[in-house]
Amino acid sequence: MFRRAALSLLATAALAAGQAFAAGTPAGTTITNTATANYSVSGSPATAVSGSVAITVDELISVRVTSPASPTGVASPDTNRVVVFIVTNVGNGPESFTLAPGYNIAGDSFDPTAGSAGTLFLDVNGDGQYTAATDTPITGPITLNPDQSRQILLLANIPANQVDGSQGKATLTATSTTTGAAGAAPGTVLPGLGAGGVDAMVGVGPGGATDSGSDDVGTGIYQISGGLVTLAKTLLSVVDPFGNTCAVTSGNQSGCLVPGAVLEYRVAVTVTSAASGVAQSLVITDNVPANTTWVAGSIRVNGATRTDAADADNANCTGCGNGTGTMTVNLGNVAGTPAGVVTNIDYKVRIN
Amino acid sequence: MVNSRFLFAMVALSTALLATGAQAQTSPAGGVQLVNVAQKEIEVDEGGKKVRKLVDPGKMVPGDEVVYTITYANKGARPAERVVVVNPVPQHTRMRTSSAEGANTEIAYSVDGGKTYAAPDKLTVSTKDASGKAATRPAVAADFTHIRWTLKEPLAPGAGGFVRFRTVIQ
Repeated sequence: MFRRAALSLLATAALAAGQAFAAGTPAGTTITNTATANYSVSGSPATAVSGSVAITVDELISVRVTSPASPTGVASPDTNRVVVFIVTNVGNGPESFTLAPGYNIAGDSFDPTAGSAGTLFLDVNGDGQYTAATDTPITGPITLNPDQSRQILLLANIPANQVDGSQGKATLTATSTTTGAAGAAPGTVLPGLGAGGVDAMVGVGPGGATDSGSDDVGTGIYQISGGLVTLAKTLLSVVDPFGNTCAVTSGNQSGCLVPGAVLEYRVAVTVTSAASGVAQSLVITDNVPANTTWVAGSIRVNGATRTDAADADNANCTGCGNGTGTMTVNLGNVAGTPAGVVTNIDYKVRIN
Repeated sequence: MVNSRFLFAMVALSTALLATGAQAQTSPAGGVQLVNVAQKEIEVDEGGKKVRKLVDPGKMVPGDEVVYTITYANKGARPAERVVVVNPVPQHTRMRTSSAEGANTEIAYSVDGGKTYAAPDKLTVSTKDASGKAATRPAVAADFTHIRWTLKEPLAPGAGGFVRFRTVIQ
């Protein structure tokens, strides 16, 4: 009998090692324990087995709301801008949580308001973007299994006339729907209200021993991001009428800068943003200098040739000629980075 | 595994539960008897002094510590020799480091489901190194599957003692 018992214990131990419950042993699980003693009396082997002692694991109620790591760059005014939260059930039983947005938060310089399209949405495709046709509005509690997370989109409109760099906060609060759980101190027992009828116990929140695990709040930040675009214009090369390329950094270009020489200019456009700021509808223009004539078909954007016509490509210089015309490049929306995103626009003119 | 003696033990368990909570025992005639008790340790204030006490486990959730105490006693008329007490680390729990205790016993652990036992510093478990090759590493308390206490002396009639270990519910 002992040998068979030992083998069955081995089997359960192997099973336990293969199961990974990051959120913990599921609510309602019974943990049993039995001790065995082998001994001998006057040379005869004997076995003693203790009774099986059982503990039922109660449901731990605990939820976490993860805030976005960096501010969302916005314009002023702006509409339906998104901050992304992640709500995770870190308890050990299936649990429902109500979700509530907060827009009027202290400690910021402006208050976002509810988005024109709504407030909270389930990020169905998990892309962190709000897509009206895909992402579903949150109209009631969401139910999460142990360890399960859902990505939640909070939408806000941004008021007008806010200065660059100023920040407005919005929050997402998740609260357990179990009766008596909301705000209850860690360790509070809710008899019979756990998964499958076991008792539920309020867990510890991220704030420490006195913070209720039954609710949690995440904070997202909207930051007005403007003034991100810098331009730098340089003379890239000079080629004299005889085809000789002249140095442009020596300061002694007089022998080169003669009528008929071709000058290539570079306009370096840098978009910088500490957050996720976007330079929207960015259009760069430069007039053909006086006493020069436009070199047809000379526009290059990041090295790629563009036509002069106003057509499908994003650059034109229609009607450009002798001291007239404006080179135009439409870069559209350019997302900035802390290091800066550089676009090089090159074009050529000939000295009259 | 279920036989009449075990069923009798289950009956004894349910009565014991009524009386003292998570406790159980068998009562075969004579020989060594084992009682296994699950408890938790709490700190209480007794006249301004903080005292640690083992009490009924009450509500247990993941992360809680369970203290298992196995009491042994020789109820027979003759000495029990080579007494070896074995307790598996219960499923859904992991053993707390260096928590096994037992006076006048030699304590060894198993990492292979109770097939072999050794001192903690002699145990290794299979793993993979950074390049994915099979390797071994020293075992830690979380690897232990079984605990074994070997009594250093025969257990005289009427004599007894206890061994203990602590686990954390995963």
